[in-house]
Amino acid sequence: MGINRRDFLKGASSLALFSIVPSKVLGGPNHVAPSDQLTKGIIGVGGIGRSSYHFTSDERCRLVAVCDVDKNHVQKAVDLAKTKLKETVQTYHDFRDLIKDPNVDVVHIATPPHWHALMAIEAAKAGKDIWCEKPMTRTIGEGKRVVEAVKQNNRIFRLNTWFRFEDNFYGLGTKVEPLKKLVDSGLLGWPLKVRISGATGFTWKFFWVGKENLTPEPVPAELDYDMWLGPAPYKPYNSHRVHQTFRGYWDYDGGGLGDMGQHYIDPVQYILGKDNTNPIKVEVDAPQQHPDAIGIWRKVTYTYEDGCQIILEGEGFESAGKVPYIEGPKGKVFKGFECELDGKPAPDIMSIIAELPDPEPQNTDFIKCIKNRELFALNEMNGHRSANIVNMGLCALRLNRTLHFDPVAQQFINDEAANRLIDQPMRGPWKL
Amino acid sequence: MKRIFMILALMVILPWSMMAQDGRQRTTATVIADAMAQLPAPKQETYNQVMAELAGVGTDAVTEIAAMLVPADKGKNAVMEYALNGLVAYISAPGRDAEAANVRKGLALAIDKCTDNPNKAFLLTLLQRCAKAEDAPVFVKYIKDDYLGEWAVNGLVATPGTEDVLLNLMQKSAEPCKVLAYAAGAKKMAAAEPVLLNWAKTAEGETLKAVYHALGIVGTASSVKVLGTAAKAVDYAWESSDVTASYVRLLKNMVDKNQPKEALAAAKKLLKATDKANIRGAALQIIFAVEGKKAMPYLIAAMKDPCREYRVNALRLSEPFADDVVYMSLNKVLQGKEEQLVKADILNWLGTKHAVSQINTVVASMKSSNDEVALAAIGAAGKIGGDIALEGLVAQLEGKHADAAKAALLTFNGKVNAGILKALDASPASQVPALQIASIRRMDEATDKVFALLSSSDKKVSEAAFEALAGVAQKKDFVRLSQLIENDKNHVPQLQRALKSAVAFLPVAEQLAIVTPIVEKSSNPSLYYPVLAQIGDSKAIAILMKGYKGDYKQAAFDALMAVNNAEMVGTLYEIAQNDPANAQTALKRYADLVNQSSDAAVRKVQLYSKALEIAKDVKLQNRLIYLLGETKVYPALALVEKYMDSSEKSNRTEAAAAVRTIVSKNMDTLGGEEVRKALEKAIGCYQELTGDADAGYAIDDLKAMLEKLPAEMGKSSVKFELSPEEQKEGFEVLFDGVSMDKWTGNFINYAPQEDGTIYVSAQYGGSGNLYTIKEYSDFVLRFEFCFLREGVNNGIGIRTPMGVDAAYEGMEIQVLDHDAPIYKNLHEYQQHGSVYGIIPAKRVKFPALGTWNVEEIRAVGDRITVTVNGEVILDGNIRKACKGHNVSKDGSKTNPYTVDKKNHPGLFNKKGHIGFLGHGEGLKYRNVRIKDLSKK
Repeated sequence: MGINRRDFLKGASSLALFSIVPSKVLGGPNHVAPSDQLTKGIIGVGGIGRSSYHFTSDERCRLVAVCDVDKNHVQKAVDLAKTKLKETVQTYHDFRDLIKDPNVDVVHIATPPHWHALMAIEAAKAGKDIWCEKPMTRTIGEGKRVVEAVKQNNRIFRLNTWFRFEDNFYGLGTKVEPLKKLVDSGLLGWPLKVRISGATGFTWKFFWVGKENLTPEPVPAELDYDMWLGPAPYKPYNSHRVHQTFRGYWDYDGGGLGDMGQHYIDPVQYILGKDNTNPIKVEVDAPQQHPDAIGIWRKVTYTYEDGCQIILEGEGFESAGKVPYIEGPKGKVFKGFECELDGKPAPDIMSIIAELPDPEPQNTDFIKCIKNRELFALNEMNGHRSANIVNMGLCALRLNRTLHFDPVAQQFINDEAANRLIDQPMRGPWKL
Repeated sequence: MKRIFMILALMVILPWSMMAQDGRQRTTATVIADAMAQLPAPKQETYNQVMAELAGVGTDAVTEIAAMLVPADKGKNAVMEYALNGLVAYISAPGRDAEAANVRKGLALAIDKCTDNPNKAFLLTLLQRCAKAEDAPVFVKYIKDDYLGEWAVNGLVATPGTEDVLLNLMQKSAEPCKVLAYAAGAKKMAAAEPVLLNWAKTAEGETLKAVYHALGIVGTASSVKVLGTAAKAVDYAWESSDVTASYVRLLKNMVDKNQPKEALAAAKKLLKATDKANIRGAALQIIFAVEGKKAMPYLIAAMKDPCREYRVNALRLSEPFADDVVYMSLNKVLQGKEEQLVKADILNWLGTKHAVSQINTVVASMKSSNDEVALAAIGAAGKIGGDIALEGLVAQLEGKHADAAKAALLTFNGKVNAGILKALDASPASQVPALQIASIRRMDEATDKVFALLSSSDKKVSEAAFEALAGVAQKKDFVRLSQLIENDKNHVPQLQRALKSAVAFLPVAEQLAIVTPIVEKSSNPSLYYPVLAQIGDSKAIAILMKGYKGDYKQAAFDALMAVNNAEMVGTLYEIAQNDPANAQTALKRYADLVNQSSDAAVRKVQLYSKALEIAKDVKLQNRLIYLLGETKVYPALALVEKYMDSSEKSNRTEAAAAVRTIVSKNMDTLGGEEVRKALEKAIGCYQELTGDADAGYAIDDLKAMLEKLPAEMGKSSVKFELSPEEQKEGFEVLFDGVSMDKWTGNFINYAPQEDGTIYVSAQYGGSGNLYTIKEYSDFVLRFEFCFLREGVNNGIGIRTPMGVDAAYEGMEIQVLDHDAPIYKNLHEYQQHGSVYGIIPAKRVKFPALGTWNVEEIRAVGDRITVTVNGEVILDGNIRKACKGHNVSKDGSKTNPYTVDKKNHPGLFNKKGHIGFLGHGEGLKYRNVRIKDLSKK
């Protein structure tokens, strides 16, 4: 396309006005009035943004715009919208143009993590509500700013991992709700130790490691690499840095821990009732990490002030034998929700749990939250706290040492170098 | 154990400082080479040790290693990057200031010298992580550089104490500077405000945005006018200068900076100046932050605001000061004539806040004719809890919003049992949900009431009672349940569930004692099959099998499928072979049970393989292929491999995944052509899956395995035994894969592994070497070795005493992965196989890492012969090699007769121990045997 982007946009805006009239306006019993129908735009339509869970358009929320810095992604999204959703979507190259689009109510951020904070903050300032993919941010400092901006602009924010409220939770084989009830009941005792490991049904996806010794390659014509990098430091292009495999580089994400960590750890924060706090210590057992490419690790141990622990066991370094997923002084729960209380098997555990009241209901309907202006179940605040756990682990891995954390100040204690990883510099003009 | 690498070459090019020696008499160059050979450090312990040694020669270590960096298209930098980044992380830990100073100095020198921009940027990043204020000039030098300016300014920002330098740069800047403005903001430099305000007068575009941004962070009341005016001029919109956000940030920061009055005044103005809900919310947040509860009128006023976003936000913002006084004021709004939606939002919020004091109002609101209000009140009552809420919600069970009331009771803040018992006695409308709740909550105290309601005249109630039985049935109810099921054809599934639940968690014997007599008496035993399936022991299985072969084939089969007992495996296979209609279902269950069993992996492979032979259903085949992969053992590979040629795409994909799993878990032992082909085929299968995000990773993963895959299969027999030939010749096994009986010394860093190898993790300066207990003079030593990582360094000591440096006090036959880039300046006499420092060996080209090499060392008198992978690489006479002068004639340290110019006092030892001389981890030995030639 030789067309100048700005001209293209100008031309397109009149088109957008035209297209806002919903196709369903002509009636039918399930007709939704246009004013009740929300609209969304997706920033980043690579693997995740185009996946079936996210690339949706329905009566309650209609997809109207997509944005990507890779022309191929944009084209694929346009085609998919046409074939799958029967929608004609507006396309953007610069996310700020999508945010500015008055037809977009909800900004859905599905880019690599190094962009999440900036885009979420800009969307908040523009008065848009936000759906953000995990991990929420790639540094603790970025997360703090997102929390501030979302609150300041009273936006509704959804961090997208969902295991604290729906779907079977990996090795548990059930939703987390029964475990939450069991923990709250005190039957397991306190403090608790949670083991997130292949041995308890979780995989850390160590194939998401980076490569050392990358050689420079020409940037493909379809990709705006400078914009793809955005706030990340400039490094010569290599195809392994971008799309899919970006997860293996510190500049953009955090490897398997970055990618899966919030999925696995966020529900633990909920189960332990730690949504407004964080561990005070993180210890790592890992090979030395490369400054650019993320490697593997054997074990990451988090300890909360009250003695609760989360232990992550890397792929290939799992505890041998049968180890509990969650363990307290009075009871243990194993993979598949097998349970022991006071040292004896408790096959009737589900029956015991059934007698307990269910936990307080969570707001799990994002569209309803937007309309009622209610906090979503997993929002900027508890999402930030679980992202912190991932990010403090990444800091400890990079420095290869134990770090102590102050969950109130959200700073490492007596380790200035670690704190420099909390607020990592961004490449201009991208600043928080 | 030698550690003299590159030393002569370095002597020529290095300053004298590099020749200085450390505590262990090593030169700096040696310390660096030794350290780099061990990187990346596999464990924190090694890491700290290696980095401590590097930090010991900090400045030189940095400059020297940085000098090895090459442009990325010209070579590999990883080892240098590990070394430098590791060093910076290490010295940045608290309490390492002295070492840090040297490293910082080294970085400054290295940055100056480096000519490749990406490498220079890397070095600047490292300095950025550890710099102190005095390093500022290093960054300042590059601040105008097109490529490096970004790192330079970020370096100044990251470094504490650079405020004066930045301010000075700002003051000297002829015109507004975007980069410096951002820096002033990031450093929260209050002193920069005047300069920034000055810049705001003339700056434009991106620069103006940066100035506003910085003022938003560092500004005071003096900036209110500038930002406020600019924000108003753009109508408080989100636009390219972002001034509105900067203005709001300024006001918020002023609250914390002891200028609350000014912030408050500006916020009150802002609140009126715009109708944008998010900006008004931000203003209200500032008002609340300054005034606290005094600002309650703003909260009450907000309830009358037409904008719902603003209203709900006002409620949420009031949380820090919300108490009963605030709740009471809101209560008045609830009693008033406000819009119903407003009331709903308030009720909702009272629930979130668990406002116990408002429960009466909440309960009263449940009766509202407005749906939104009633639903909000019901939800809030459930969250608040307590007797009044419980009573109110139970009453709602017969109302219009019964479903919401039921949901609220299930998540009720407290126990609901008392309320539910009452509801079971109330109207039919409330009995139905009460029955459901009683069942879900397994309310034993409700059992009799549930049984009574089975005969309710209201059909809905009696149906609900049948459904509820499973939740409340107990052991004592089994007989009455059996009487019901024998006579009621319409509720068989419900009653079966109840029968199961009544005995569910009793010991098997007790369950059988209750159930068997009733089954035996029954005219239709199949009614109890689900209960028997739940019991699942051999007696229960026998009864079910009788039914399967008799009058109740299908019912018995269905029950058998639910039996959770490994004993079923054989039975299921038999059914699969003889009962075509049920075969695939039986096999699926068979696969699940094998998977759950505690059988050894190899046994599981056999069982899956049998199933695969008769599995016709593609999904079932895929399940079996997957499970074969999960066994992670080599024998499964051959079974799944052929499915990569299947005409079914899903077979191919599943098989490729299984191949990947199996090979990845057996990289230590697998190798050879067949495995290679399987991996290649698997890559092909994944390549078919275009558009699948994970397929790309799988291909990368498989390719990496291919690269590492040894040419041959590893030895699968763990215990090594001599070949008949060697046995005849008189060889003796020194290490057979298990026993360390013939060895002494360091068993910690030379640990025998399950795969029959000795794994070496010894570090230089670690706790010593491993030696044969016996001494040998003339001998033939044979063994295999395998490098697991690049640059591995070890050695075989011969004719050496224990606990000394064998290279000099005896002889050392070098073991070294000399192909690694860090050894590019290696001397010939340091190459693998050399008699260290005495006779160079011919350079071996090693196969890929992870491949086993075969070596023989023959020592007969002064003649040493070394053969690697069948090739003689050294055959020489040690006495001739140094003309008989193993030590210098004049007693000096330099010996002109040896190749390494060192004295080798132990070279002509008649006999001594054989030892493994550790020098970093990542090496394996196996099949070590010796022929003692002195024995005759």
